[in-house]
Amino acid sequence: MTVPTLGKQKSYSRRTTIRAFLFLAPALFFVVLLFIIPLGYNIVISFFDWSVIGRREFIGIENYVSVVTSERFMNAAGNTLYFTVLGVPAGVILALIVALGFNALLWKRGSGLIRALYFAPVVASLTAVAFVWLWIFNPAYGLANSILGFFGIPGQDWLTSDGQVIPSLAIMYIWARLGFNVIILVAGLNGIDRSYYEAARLDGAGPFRMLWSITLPLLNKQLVLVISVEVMNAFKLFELPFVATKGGPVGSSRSMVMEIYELAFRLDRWGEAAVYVVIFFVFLVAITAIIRKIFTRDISE
Amino acid sequence: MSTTSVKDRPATTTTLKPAAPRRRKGSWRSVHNLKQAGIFIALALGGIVMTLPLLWVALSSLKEPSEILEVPVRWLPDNFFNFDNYVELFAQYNFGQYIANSFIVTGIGIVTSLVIALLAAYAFAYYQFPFKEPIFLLVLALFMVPQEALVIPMFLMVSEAGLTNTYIGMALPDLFTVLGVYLLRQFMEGIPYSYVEAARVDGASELRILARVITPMVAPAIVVFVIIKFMFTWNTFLWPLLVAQDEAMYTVTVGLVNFAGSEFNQWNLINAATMISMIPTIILFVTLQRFLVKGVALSGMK
Repeated sequence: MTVPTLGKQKSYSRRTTIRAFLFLAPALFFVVLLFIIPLGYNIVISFFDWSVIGRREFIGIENYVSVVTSERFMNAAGNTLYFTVLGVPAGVILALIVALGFNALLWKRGSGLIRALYFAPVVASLTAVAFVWLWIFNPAYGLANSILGFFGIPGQDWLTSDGQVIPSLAIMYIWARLGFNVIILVAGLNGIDRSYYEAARLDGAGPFRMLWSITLPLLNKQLVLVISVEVMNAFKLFELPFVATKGGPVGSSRSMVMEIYELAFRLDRWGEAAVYVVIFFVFLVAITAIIRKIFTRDISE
Repeated sequence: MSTTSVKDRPATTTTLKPAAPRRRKGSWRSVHNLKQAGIFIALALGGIVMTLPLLWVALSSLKEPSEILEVPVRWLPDNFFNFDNYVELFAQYNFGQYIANSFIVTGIGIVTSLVIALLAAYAFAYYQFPFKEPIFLLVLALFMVPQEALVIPMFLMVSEAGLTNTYIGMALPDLFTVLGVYLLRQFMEGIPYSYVEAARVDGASELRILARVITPMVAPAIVVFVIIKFMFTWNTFLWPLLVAQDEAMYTVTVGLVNFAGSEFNQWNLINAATMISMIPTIILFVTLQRFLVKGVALSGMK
């Protein structure tokens, strides 16, 4: 391995190299076992008519054609995208507002406790979150309609109406994730040098101008992290509809991962399920790349 | 790393400690304090709204079946010490077993992934070897790969290996965590290399240096990792749902969903079961909250 810039030979001690790879061996073993082999295996399965009973027939791209043209796929992909579009921007903006609040709060007494209140839902599993809200959204006995009733607003159907089910799931998701995002953003805000704001104030910049020109660009790294993680989590939506709605009413909350589960484990159509996984990854990689692109441009301005 | 938490507040704000305004007359009414009070109240109200759902479930779990279906909704249970629902879940259902299973799977996952991460982080932090950065980037890239997406091939592999309904099979995706390698490497790189060199001069073996010198020094990162890992593994659902097919092997999350499916509309019991599934993470959260918050912040400080 030569380093062209200095013309200097970068050499590695053979002993150190062997040692390093011995230390890395268990990690690399699991990288191969848990990620690389399954990814490869999944791609292979996607080209087969595959059943656990033993039917394994190579059928080329037939699975891809049948999945992409199927109504099931369009429905699940549409639901997952709708959920992501509703949940992620609203969740991130809300987290940003709360984080800015904490950052502006100079009273330290009690602020730790308040922060804990925001973080508490993060420790709950998504299955628990689903039950918490299934009970709150219960049309007859739930807290949500009871509170609406207090303000004279008629009760809603929430999870039991095909128009409200995805927004209701998005509320559950935002609630579950808010504290996590707030903490990452607060950490980022703490790292911003205050002298930028002093300088901007001297130049006569208002609070919104400062937010737009100083805070957001300097928070870039944390925002990319939060948005990427949120998009990924929204994409793999499974527990919330699986528990709270079983994908209903009439399929209006079936997600991509739910379809993967249904196709493989209920209907024994593994090849098609594997196609969903491939499409899922293509989506994920594309969206992550787009997020990074948008935000790296932002900082250069 | 630790220096990032030090805030660079301008000197003017440090004079405004909470105790100060009371002494100086009139300063309470200053615009600044009004603004602070406004922010404080808004954040506190938001925090209460955030906690209400959990509180509601906790209160509901103490109610009798007749109380819980009252309309209009009544907030407080008749008897705050009515643990009948909990007793019933442990006596008539297998929640004790589910909790034990969750602890076993989580324990296996934490120990294995921690040891593997320590070894790998040590190599990344203290050795120069070919393809070091590409390998690290590959490992890091896997951070974005959700395990849920790989259930199809993973399940086929596990069932071909005959590992369904075993703890090892259930813990398999949790045996290795990218986050651990990343966190520990970051931390180890903050430790002066001279510690390692001094130990080498003393004739300590590399494994011994890692175990006796480095591991104690990265203890804060280990605590953070263990907490986050516990939360993630304890809360996993899809994988144990597939691999734990015998009821005796169910984890808490799977047991909860299965139970609620069979006892539909018994909301007093479902609420209590939901609480049971959360209690270990809630205890962890309450006792180690400071570390947890720091850890999440740390994992975001790329």
